[in-house]
Amino acid sequence: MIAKFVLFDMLNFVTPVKRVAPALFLVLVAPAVAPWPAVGIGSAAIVMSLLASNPFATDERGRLDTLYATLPMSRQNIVVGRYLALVVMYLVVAVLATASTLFVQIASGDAVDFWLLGVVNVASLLIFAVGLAVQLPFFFSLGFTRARLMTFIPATLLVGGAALASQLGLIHGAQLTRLISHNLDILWPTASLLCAAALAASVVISAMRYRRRAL
Amino acid sequence: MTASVVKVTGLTHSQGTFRLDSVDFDLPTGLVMGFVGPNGSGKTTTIKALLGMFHPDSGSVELFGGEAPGAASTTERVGVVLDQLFVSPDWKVGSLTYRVGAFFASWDRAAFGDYLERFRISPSARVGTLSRGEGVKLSLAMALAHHPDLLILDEPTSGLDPVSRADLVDILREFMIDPSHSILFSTHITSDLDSLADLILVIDNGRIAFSGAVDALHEEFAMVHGTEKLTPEARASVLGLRRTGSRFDGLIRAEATPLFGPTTVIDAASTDDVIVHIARNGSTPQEVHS
Repeated sequence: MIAKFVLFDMLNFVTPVKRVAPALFLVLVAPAVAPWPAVGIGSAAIVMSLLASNPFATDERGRLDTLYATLPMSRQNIVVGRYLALVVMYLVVAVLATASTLFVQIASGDAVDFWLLGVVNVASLLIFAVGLAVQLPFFFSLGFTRARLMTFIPATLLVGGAALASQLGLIHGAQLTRLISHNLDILWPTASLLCAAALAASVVISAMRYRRRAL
Repeated sequence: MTASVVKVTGLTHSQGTFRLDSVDFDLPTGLVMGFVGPNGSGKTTTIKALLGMFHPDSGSVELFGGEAPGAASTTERVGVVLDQLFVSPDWKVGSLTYRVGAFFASWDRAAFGDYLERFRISPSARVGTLSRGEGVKLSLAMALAHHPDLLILDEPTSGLDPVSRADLVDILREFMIDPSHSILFSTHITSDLDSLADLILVIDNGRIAFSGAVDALHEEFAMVHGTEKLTPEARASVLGLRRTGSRFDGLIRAEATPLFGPTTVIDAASTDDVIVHIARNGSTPQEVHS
């Protein structure tokens, strides 16, 4: 039943296509126009974090919470299904952004830096997962209209925080690169663990909140 | 004894200033229950409780002899038609088979197609382009396509033209040919219930004012009209007393008939009379002057 809801939600996410097409187009063309090609992968995290509220907006627009109440599936399955659908859609967009980045680098004759692409993908996944983990309990608890500010808060805090830290000299590119290089063997497992822990905690909170919510 | 398809016991729930107060009723299998009352009386809140859309403060709701509302095993057997469609306006009608039908084990693709054809709704139309009447018919097609045992209808006929209302009632009659089927039909257009309902449930201000057979409602209540001066006992027995100059009218329980003199006219009360006067009595306990 969860798999059915994942498909249902993914289908709704791209219906109508015109609602999500501009953002996805931006992710795909970013590597060609940005000075640093890997920015396309990074923007996938920001764009998908901003679009995470989209299914909740669709729920309100079509009164789909009422539909869910009439379907033979539990609210818990709906919560799990929505998280999975958003993660799967993020992965699809990240793969497309990576492919687009590779294509631009190869077409322009630049050497492909697989190490860098890997690190950016890990960081991007972490950013998206934390953003999702923060946002979704609010949307499940309050619905789109009352929680709509959460659409922008995680991405704004992240981009603003990174810019501020950079201005204050707290982040040094060279130091960060060295730190990552020296800890490459634990980067993937740590990032995966952090993503899984953040999402698991978020799913539990969302399921509890959505179960208690009056529809 | 016929098993209950819906059993509500002591259902109490507060929502802002509104309170659903100890609602009790029982819908036996194979019958149609009309659920009537003025706007804001608690019909939709009660129906939401039957669908498990909120947790009541106290009381219980049981479907199909003990199952909880909202459980997968119950929703599979319940068809729901509400006053508004609950599917995205961006979806195409035909896509409901794989978007919604995929969740139901008993979804009948052919039956859904047949209903669309019967209701003259194009599968390629977008839901947002349908008229109000077509929207209700689409809801009904969705509700019937998975062969439910219980239909829950919340004011489906409000805003429909007489022909569409008659069509809807015809379909409900067909549904009731199967003796294992039941309907809970909330409406404030009581004429829709005339040829359909076996039982009637009157709710006012969150409380059940009457629950029983349709005939019993007409036997229990009567309308009084007259010009005579009312005794205090007679006056106290009138629900929603209305005075126009020296004339008065109101609703009484049939047992109060001996309290009125020979010049008072006592008529049968229609379902509308009962709703109007009970509601008026609730809002203005003494009397209304006009």
